[in-house]
Amino acid sequence: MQDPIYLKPETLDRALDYLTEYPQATLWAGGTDLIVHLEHKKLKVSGIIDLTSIPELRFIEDCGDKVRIGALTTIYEIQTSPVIKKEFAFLAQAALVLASWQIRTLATIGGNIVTAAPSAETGCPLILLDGNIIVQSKNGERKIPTNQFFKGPGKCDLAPGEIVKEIELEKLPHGYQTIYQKERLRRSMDIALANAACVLNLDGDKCQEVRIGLGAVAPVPMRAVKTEAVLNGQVMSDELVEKAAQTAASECKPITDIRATADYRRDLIYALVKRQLTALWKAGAE
Amino acid sequence: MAENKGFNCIGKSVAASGAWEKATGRAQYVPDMKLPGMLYGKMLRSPYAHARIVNIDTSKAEALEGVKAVATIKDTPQVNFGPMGTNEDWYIFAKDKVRFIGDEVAAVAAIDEATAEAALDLIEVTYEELPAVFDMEEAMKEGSPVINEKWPDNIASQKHFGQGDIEAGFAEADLIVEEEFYTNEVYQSYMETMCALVRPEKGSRLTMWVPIQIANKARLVYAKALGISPEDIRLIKPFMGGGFGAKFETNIHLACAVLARKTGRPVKMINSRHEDFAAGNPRVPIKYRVKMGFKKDGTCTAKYMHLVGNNGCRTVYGPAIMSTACYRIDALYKFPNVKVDGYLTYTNTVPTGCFRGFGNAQSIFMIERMMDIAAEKLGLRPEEIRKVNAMTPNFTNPHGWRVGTCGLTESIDAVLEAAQNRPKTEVSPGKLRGIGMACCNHVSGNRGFFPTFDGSSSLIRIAEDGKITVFHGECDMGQGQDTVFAQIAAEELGAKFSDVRVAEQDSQISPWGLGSYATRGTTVGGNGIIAGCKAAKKILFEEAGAMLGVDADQLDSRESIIFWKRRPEKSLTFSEVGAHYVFNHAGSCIIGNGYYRTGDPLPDPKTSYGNVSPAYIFGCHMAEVEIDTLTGHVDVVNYWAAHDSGRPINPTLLRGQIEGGIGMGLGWALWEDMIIKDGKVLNDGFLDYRIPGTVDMPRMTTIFIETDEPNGPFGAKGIGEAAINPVAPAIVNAVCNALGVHFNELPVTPARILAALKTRNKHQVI
Repeated sequence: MQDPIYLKPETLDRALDYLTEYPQATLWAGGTDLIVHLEHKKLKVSGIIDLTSIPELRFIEDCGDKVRIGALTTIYEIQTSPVIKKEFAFLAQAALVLASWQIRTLATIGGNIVTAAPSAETGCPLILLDGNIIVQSKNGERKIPTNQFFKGPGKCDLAPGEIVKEIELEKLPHGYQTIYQKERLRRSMDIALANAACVLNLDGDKCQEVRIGLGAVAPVPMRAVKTEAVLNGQVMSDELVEKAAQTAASECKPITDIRATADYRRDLIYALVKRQLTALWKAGAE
Repeated sequence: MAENKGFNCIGKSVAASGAWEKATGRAQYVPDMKLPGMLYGKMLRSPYAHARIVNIDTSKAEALEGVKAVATIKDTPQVNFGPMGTNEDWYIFAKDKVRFIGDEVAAVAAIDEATAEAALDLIEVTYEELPAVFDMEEAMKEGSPVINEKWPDNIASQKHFGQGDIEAGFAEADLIVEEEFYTNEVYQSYMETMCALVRPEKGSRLTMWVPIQIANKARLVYAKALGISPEDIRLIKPFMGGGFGAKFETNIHLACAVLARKTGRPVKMINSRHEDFAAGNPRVPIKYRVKMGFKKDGTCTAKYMHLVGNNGCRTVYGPAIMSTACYRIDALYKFPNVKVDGYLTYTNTVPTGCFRGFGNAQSIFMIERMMDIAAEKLGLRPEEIRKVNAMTPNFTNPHGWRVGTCGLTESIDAVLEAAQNRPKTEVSPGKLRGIGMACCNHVSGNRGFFPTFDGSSSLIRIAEDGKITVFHGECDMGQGQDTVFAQIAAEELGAKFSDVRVAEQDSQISPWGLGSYATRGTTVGGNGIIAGCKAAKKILFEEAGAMLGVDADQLDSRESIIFWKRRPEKSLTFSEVGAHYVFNHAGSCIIGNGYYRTGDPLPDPKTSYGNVSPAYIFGCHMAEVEIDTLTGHVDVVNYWAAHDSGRPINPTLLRGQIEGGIGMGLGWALWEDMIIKDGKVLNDGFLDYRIPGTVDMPRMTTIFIETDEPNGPFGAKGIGEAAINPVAPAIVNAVCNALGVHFNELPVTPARILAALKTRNKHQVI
């Protein structure tokens, strides 16, 4: 039996060298999904490049109109960061309910987005924010808008030889509220049956701008554009919220699997959108 | 309340034995163990539910570097054997055909796990698929594929019996209720998966380290399977990571033994969690058709049950479980006229076995739903219909079961009072609240499980330093049996608790105990401990009497000091007497060897008539739930559990058992379900088979109804299985109460609740 090659670079340049040398190697960004896939024999690896000892990839930086997050920043760091809590409260909320505390201290935001699970916690908040996923290869840097990064279950816009370096996110204008919630079978650590995120800017009761993201109900975290169209420019009311929730339930594209039926996932999207809009609307009105 | 008899050790929440070892990480479980020269074993399991094995070619696997042996049926005596004498339908490895997805086809021993795993992929098996049957009722139909030649109708066992006059009972009823129920297949979710470490010894002898609830009985079955004598197997049960009924005989132990013999080296095998889901011993699922007659006041006049259970493809303990499901509830309520037709069928699915509650948990779900349905139709409160039928002390039921102590009515009253006194909180918007109750009973030491004998024994050794070692053949699987036995021994001997140790169970020295099942440990095993202590105490006191010049019967002991009752200052310590005895008997320790037998003849195998247990246990639970009307999610917000388990020996352990039972039952009620499609377990891991976590647990109140059971040690009875029996029906009854909808199938998932709410909303607005 030949053991896989294990490499642990301490700089991004070195990691890219290794990746050129061993193009088949798997990138390790915390391993919390990778280990499970290996255990379940869903994956075989010929080599591992462990990115967790590269300090330049692990940071959260407030740059005035932007926030930069290093790809190897742990979920626990996102959850507890004062910058994230202030600027993107819903991203911190999503981090807080991702798996268990032990997992959150190992799992990284880069790993979470590259794994590209349709139910990924960070997916919905990220696609609602303006910004880029920045990837690096020997040939240079490439910027991918956050809402174009996810390509399918387990698939993202990352070419061979590329490593996700950072996520740069534009701050939301003053007065924008955010929320993230998920529905799961049990209250303790559990995978989302459906999740949703919402960004809302109200002028009084008038919806100036809304962005809604839905997770685990499509191959990738999806923007609920029809639902947003129902709300934008309208005055908030119970009837409008009801109509928006119904629109979201019908525009999502869930599948039936062993966790839930497509119909039940639609019901959950209805519940999530209704609750989120109501919560932000009532909070904003106060 | 039982009077306090001035006990020293009984009723005290001493720290559990083994707690220090576990808390400091020193406890050695089988997966922790490593022996010099040890190999690692892995099992090749069938990917087909039903297929003929045309050929097995192991040559490539054997040629792989690091592989020491590949074993198949050819390496075994190829005899049929099995846990139940009535249905000996096992082989160690599949012979000629496989019968379920997960069936044991071959096993590899190699220098490490990775090599063993790699070798599995190199074993070439040619299968010829056979038609399969998965549904328990489908299996009984004519023309269904035959799974075991000796049972061509796929009926593994059936029971047809009754007592009283069922027709007369229905004739006098004011109300007839007919319903159908289904209790699903669930997994025990113990922390330590099934495993074994086996070391070959001289000749055909073996030493086996296995986590098992019934070490001695398994030794008999394993000896037969391996073609050796039971004494050729030294079986040691080390620290054990739970069992809940699953850890009875299992083929992984035998496969490991075969590999050890073939390689001549110690071999360790551990099920992965997936294997354990696919080929463990999950609960027997049962379908019920029930008809009951009631008087206006709720008195039940007749009960007819038709039930079918799924045995899986071979027999673990299905027939005994199905039989239990047929009639154990007849000691919960006073049913005068009963009749039952029970069937257990073979299907091409994972063999099913014992799970906390045996078949009684299934039937209690059924009967406790039935009671609520009947109460609603009769306009009675849930507690009214239960109390009018409730078992009472000193009552002989229609099957000849002699119930002694019984705190059922007190349990109902206690939970009702506690629930009424709950802090009343506002129901959040968008939520619905409901409350439900369910009663339970159980045996405490079911007899006739191993028909050859019944009872328990112990060896009690008092050494020259006065320290006491308890040897028993029952089983501590984490539930605290050793702690309770040490408390009983200390009390009976008048010894200091800290002087008592309980020996690791080892068939080379431990008595022939029947083990941990049927909530028998404390009642039956505890009496065995007392008997051994009495024998040891007799020798101890005779020696002390001779040393003091006083008759032995004039002596008493307390805190490891023996004293003359008339003049307590005339005394000797256990160590003084122990040393004197040992050194005057050429090193022979004081050893007490005693046994306890339950006495009565065993129940008649045909009519099932006869007293089945030395004691009976009772309880009542209430659950309050809050349901999210948009998602169907259920939060159990409050929970009350009252139990008559006799006199509590260790209140903390007793409470722990009850709370553990609540957690286990909560998962069963709401989510836990083995999703099996065409014989394959789809959710074979904890990602998609969810058990409750801490956040899902309710606020729990436990109440002890302390009776003084004359047949129990110091008045005690058991708890283990009773703790889970009423949980699922109490929670489901609460959900039904909140929604006004009846759920008769487990589990009651959020999706099912939401679907029911939508139907309901057509008629009314929440």
